[in-house]
Amino acid sequence: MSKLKKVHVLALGLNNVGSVVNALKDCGFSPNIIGLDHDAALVDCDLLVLPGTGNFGEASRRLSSSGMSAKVREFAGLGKPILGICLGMQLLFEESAEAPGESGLEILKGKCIPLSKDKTRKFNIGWNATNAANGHEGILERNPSDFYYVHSFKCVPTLSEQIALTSTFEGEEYAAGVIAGNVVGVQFHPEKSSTAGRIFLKRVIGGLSNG
Amino acid sequence: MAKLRIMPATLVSSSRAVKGQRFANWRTIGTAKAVTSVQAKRDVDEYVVLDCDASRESRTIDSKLVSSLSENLRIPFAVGGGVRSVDDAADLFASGADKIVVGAACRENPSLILELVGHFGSQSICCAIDAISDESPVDRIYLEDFGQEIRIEELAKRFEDLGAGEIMLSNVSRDGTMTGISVRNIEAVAKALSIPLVAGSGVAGFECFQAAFDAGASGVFAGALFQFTEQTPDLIRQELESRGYPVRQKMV
Repeated sequence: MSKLKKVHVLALGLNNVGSVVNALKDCGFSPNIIGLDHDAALVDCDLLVLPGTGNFGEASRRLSSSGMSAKVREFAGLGKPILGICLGMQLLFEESAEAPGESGLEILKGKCIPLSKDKTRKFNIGWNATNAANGHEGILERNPSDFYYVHSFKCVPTLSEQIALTSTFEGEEYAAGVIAGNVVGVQFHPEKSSTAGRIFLKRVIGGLSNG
Repeated sequence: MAKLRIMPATLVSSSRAVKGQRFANWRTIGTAKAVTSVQAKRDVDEYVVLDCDASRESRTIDSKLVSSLSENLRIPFAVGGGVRSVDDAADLFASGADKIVVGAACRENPSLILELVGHFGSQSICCAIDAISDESPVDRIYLEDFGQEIRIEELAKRFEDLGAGEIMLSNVSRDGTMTGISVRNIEAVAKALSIPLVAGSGVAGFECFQAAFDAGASGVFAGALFQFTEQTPDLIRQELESRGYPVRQKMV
């Protein structure tokens, strides 16, 4: 089992936190849900999970107005493990075209842009093949694996070596997962990806160390 | 494009799973919990639960029910029934829904879609359209309190423009009848949209899935077929795969 004992799942009030908690329990963790009003420092936590769904602008406003952004940045600065899921992954970056002018957590360098290049809004909703990249084959039981995606923006990391997983939308490959030290972000929903998602969570969290 | 989704759908009235025909003659087929646990065990691509009486009874699908149903689901869960506000949706998301299906409220007050999308993002907001029939491919929309008929493809486009992330297309005259789908309706709406379309009503077997996907649907939902026949989502999936359709590769 992983060395990471104390797992916090940050509820922004926009997220489906329940299924993330269930998935973590299936993987042998006993996660706590914390809210934006969580006043204790995060340092005593071993893994911070930022779950997905929601609008980038709304989420980043809630994070910064509550003072949680600063706490999460400090936590990341100590080299502590963070797992961002879907919007949680996008928030790890500097900014998003979904909400121009709003800052992300700025833990990773890069930005989020619409999935589709043309003007029509396009969504990637459903199960998609996901491939390992940059030597990260070990986090997939089967390469590629099918995971469940629901998103219309994608992350473009400045440092392409941080891309650990890729998927394809309209023939174009994009970052489906990033790993930068103890910071992990995934665009898909492992908690909604049945067995494949649970195996992935166990493996990727198993690879993180406690700062 | 994402892989084609096979989506069992269960209609509920409060905590009872019900089945009707043409949106009427509802009868109870069991508890929602029992019916859902069968689908959960089948590890389906996505599961849909809609409370068909909620709107009419001016209530929202019971968030306690949603919470109890979502406990055992390890797959995407779309929920609808009487959602009229951001608060209603927030309750359901907090109770384990991944996607909210908005029906009557987005026809009575289309600007609700804008509000929901502003809070939760387009991708988790699905708007339902109920075509009257094949011959009458229209639904009603209320603009400044006046109800008027509107062609389904036009309504779909309007919902997309307001920010909806997905459209769920039913057909009242075929719903629950297992007499086949309306390919023409599906095709018309799929052509008008750049967001995904999930379609159902009348799904009778493999051929309906194939026809709906060929017509441009990204997902097909079915109730009666998976509840009352030997057919399972896995059998449909394998059949689709053998004919070269992109379907989910499961890990067992």
